Order: sequence, then C-alpha cells, then structure tokens
Amino acid sequence: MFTYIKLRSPLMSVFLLLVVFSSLTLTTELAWSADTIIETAEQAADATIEKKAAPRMGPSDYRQIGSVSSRAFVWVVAQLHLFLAAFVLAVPLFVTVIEWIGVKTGDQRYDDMAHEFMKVSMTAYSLTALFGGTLAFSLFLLYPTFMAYMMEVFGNQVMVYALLFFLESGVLYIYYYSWYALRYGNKKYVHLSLGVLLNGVGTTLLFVANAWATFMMAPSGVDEAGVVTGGIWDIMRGPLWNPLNLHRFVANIAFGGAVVGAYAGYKMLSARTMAQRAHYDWMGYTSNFIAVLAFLPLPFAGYWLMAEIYAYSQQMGITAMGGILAWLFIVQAVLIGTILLAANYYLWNGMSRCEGSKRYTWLIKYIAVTLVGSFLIWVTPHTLILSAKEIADLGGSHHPLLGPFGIMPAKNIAVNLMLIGTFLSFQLYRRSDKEITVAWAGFGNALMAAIYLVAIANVIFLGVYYGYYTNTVYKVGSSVAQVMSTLIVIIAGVTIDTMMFKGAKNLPVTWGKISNRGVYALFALPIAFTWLMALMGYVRSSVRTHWHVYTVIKDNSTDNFIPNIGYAANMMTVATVAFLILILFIFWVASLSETRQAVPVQKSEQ
Amino acid sequence: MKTLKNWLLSFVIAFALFYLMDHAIMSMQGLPLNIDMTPAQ
Repeated sequence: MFTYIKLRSPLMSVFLLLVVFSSLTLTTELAWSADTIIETAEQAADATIEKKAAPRMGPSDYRQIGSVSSRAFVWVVAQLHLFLAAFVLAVPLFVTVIEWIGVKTGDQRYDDMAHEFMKVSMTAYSLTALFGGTLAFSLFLLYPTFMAYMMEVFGNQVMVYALLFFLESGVLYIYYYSWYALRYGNKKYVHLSLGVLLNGVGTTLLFVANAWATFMMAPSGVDEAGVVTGGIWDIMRGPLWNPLNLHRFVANIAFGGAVVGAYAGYKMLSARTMAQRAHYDWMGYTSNFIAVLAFLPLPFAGYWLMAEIYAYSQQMGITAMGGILAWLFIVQAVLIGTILLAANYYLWNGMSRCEGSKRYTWLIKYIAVTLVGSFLIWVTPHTLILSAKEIADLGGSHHPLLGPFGIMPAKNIAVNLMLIGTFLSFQLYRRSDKEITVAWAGFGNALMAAIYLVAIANVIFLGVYYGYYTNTVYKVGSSVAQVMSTLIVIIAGVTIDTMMFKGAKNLPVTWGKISNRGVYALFALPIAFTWLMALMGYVRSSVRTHWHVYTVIKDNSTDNFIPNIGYAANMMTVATVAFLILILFIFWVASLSETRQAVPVQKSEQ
Repeated sequence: MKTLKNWLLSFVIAFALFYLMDHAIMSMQGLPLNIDMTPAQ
C-alpha cells in the first residue's frame, strides 16, 4: 500500500516520520524495558501457571515429512533465510552511509548508486520473509515440543520480534518508495532519518533473533532443569549474545557488499555503452570497498566469539577447534584465503584505471608472495589423515618440517600478515589517483613504511617467540597484541593518508578501464562469502553436539550426532547453490524494472 | 641527510609505538613482560 502514498507535502512526511518514530519508541521500550513490562506479565502469569522444566524429548516429540530428514530440511531452509536476512539487513546500512556521502559531497552519483543498491535488496526482502515463514512453520511442525519450550522461555519476546518485523517492513517501503519524493533540501534529511530508523529497527531485529541462537548454545535465565528463573533480559543476555551480535553485524555488511558487488560486475559485463560500464565499474569498486572494509575486522570479532565460547565451556571450544569440527577451520582458511586473494586481485586490476598507479605496481609482487605464503601456512593442517604405513614413513602423525605450521601461532601470523597485505593494497589503490603536496610528505611516507615493517616484524616475533618458546598463557595473550599490531597499521594508514591527502592533486581516473578478468573477482567474493557463512554457521550450531539447548534439553532425535564432514559439506553446498540461484533471480528482477518495451507500431502507420 | 633523518625518526617512533603497545596489551591481560620482552612471570 505504501506504493500509493504520495509523500509530496512536507507535512505528510513529518507526520509519517512521527508515526514511525512513535512506533519505534514503543517497540524499543517493549524490547529494552523487557525487565519491567514482560517480567510484570510473567509475574502475573506465575500466579496461575507453574513454571515448567524443560521437556525430556522422546521419539514422539519429533516429526518428519516422508523420508526427508527433518534436520536436513530445517538446515537448508534456515540457512537460506539467514543468507537473505543478512543481505537485506546489511544493504540499508551502507546505503544510508552512501546517501549521506551524496548529501555531503553534492554528487548525485552517490544518491543514484544508493538507490540502485536498495532496488536490488527489495526483491530479496520478500524472499527473506517467505523463507522466514517457511522456517517457522517447519520448526513448529517438525519439532513441536522443543518449540513449545522455546515459546515458554521467550514468551512475549517473540511478539516484540513480530512487531519489529512489521515496523521494518513499513519503514523499508517508505524509505525506498519515497526516494525521489524526498530528494532535495530539508526533505533529504527526512529521508536520511528514515534510513537511520530503518537500520535501527533492522539491527534490533537481528539482536533479538540472535538471542534465540545463543540461548540454545549457552542458556541463561534458566536453571539446570530448564525452569525459567530470570526475566527475559536474563535469558537474552547470555555469555555469547554480544559476541554473536557483533560478529553477525560486521559479517552481514561484508556479505551484503560482496553480493551487490556481483550485481555491479554482472551489469558491467553486460553494459552496452561506455557510460554504463563506467557507472557499474564504480559501483563494483564501492561494493568491494565495503565488503573488504567490513571483512578486515571480522577475524577479530570471530576471535572474541571463540574466546567467549571457550570461557563458557572448554568442552564446547575443544569440540569446535580440536575435534571433528576442527577440520572445517582448514576449509574456512581456504575460503577466507580465496576472499582475500580475490579482493586483492580486483584492486590490483583496478589500479589500471589510473596512470598514477604505476608508482606503486612494483609492490604488488611482494604483497602477492606474502598472501600466497600466508595462505599456504593457514591451510596446513596440524594432524594429517594417514594410513599406518604413511605414519611409519613420516615418523609420526606430524610432518617434521610442516608440523609447526599446523598450530595456532603460525595461523595467527599468517592471518595478520594477510590482513596487513590487503590493507596495503587498499592504501596503494587510494594513493594511485593522488599527487601528495604537503610539505612533510617525505616524513609521512617514511613513517607509514616504518609502521608497516615494524608491525610485520612484531606480528612474526610475537607469534614465533611466545607461540613456540613460552607457556600457553603467554601464547594466547600475545595473539591479542598481534591483532592490535594489525589494527594500528589500519588506523595509522587511514589517519596519515587523511592528513597527507589535504590539498593533494587529483590525477585522472578512467572508470570502466579495468580488465574483464578483474571484474570476475567480484563474483568470486559472494560465492566464497556465502560458502563461508554456511560453513561457520554450521560449526557454531554443531558445537551443541547432542543437545537442542546445551546441557538443558537433550536431542533424542535420529539426527542427534555431528554428521561426517562430507555430508555436512554437501548440505552447505546445496544451501549455497540454492542461494546463488535466488540471487540470480533477484538480479534478473532488479534488471527487469529497467526494461522498457518499445511502443507497438500501429498498422495504419505502417 | 633529511631523508636519512626522516627514516631514522620514523623507525624510532614505530619501534617505540609497538614496544610500548606489546607491554601494555600483555600487562592488561595480567601477563607482564621484562624490558627484554621475556615473560616476567
């Protein structure tokens, strides 16, 4: 219905904004003052209903559709819903930022690009809701007893989620369809406010849903028998909630950037004019920039999540990183390596857009060697799957030379060097079209180079010395200093460049002048990102092993085991391929809106 | 000469920055270091 709302008068815009803000205030109060509102309701309910312990699940508590495994069915549907939800929650985040940049710079191209990004995500939004509904129905149909317990625990909170979803839908449609009605002057700020509101609601929605997943992994607000002992806030704020909130928030942005990057790549390769090619080249570059910028801090967010998992339950941590699931971290390394190599390759190709890049191309070979070397160290497994004869020939299950590369200190060095190398590629790209004119340019360049070299030396020293020659506590502690070294490089790089770019002469950039080979890297990114999300989502969920809710409700279904790696990999691949097909559909629908049929020629005119 | 000064000063700043950062981060985690970076515990 919002399609038909005409937002022509300022009064109407302000009125709508007030309605939306009031709804948000009400919703956030419901969500974040849960201690008072929901607890009061629960206290009232307590008077009549006795709190129940968690159910002991038996065969009659599980259902199946024909011979289809319930776990497999829910696995794929949940994964597709999460892919789509991640995409639609992420896109408005960077769209609002791009729109704001457009306002600040006065460059309409930013506004057009932001609108086009939103157009792609609109089709995905409907699909997200469809898969969300299918997931909810599947869970209630196939796991009715378990879902009844979850409803008992979360109570009214799920209605807050539903309310937020209504709000999200309303604000999203208003935001998108009012784009051209609220484009200039003060109206633009009303539109930007809608964007901020949309992202506020979307992020709250994400955090509310995250609480369900983290409750299953690390339940809080219940006793050993699963009886609810605390309010909804105690249940939501489990030990893993905030680490997962941060990790998913950042990962969603990287994922969203990668997907719209593929859209830009697809449009660029099919462009018929140079102007179109230039526009989509710029759009692809921006998408890649968003994806990699969000991706750089992601390992640190992941590190925090894993550290909290270990702190909550060492057993859970060991299951993830020391048991059967540990092998999946090798696959993770391959996928992250693919992402970083593809992102760097795209940047190196993109440097051909500007003649000024020739000053820096000599450095590319060193970055490439660092990336490939680090990648190989990262994918080196600690233990090898060997026959008895192979173990005898090798003299043990660890390779005498490559064995040391299999443990975390080596991996920490590798990942930090890859991130530093990727940031260097970014920095060189950004400097390509600038001729720095500040008087202290020599010192600035020397300081930046020194920071890179000392940071690299520090990362290697910390990893080798504390990782191999001191006790475990120092080994783990030094990894934080390694992370800080990488962050210092990034922060120093951004700060020094910002100061050095003041008054810099801009060199010409020819958008669209990039090899098609480079553009294909934009397709590698979302494919690797999607697979990576499927993989690590599976690991996160599987650490519960044979528990629906860890230590509270045992999984007594026929699927109460961690499947073998081959089966799990096939499931992830099915979900990934299905999502990529959906994405192609989304791209096609987005392109369809631009297609205009030619006016039929009347017979009499012929 | 100026170039040499720039490089020397830059490396001194970078070394000091990372050396102090290592000490600070490790101490914050209850893992103090000696001046020569060996574990103090």
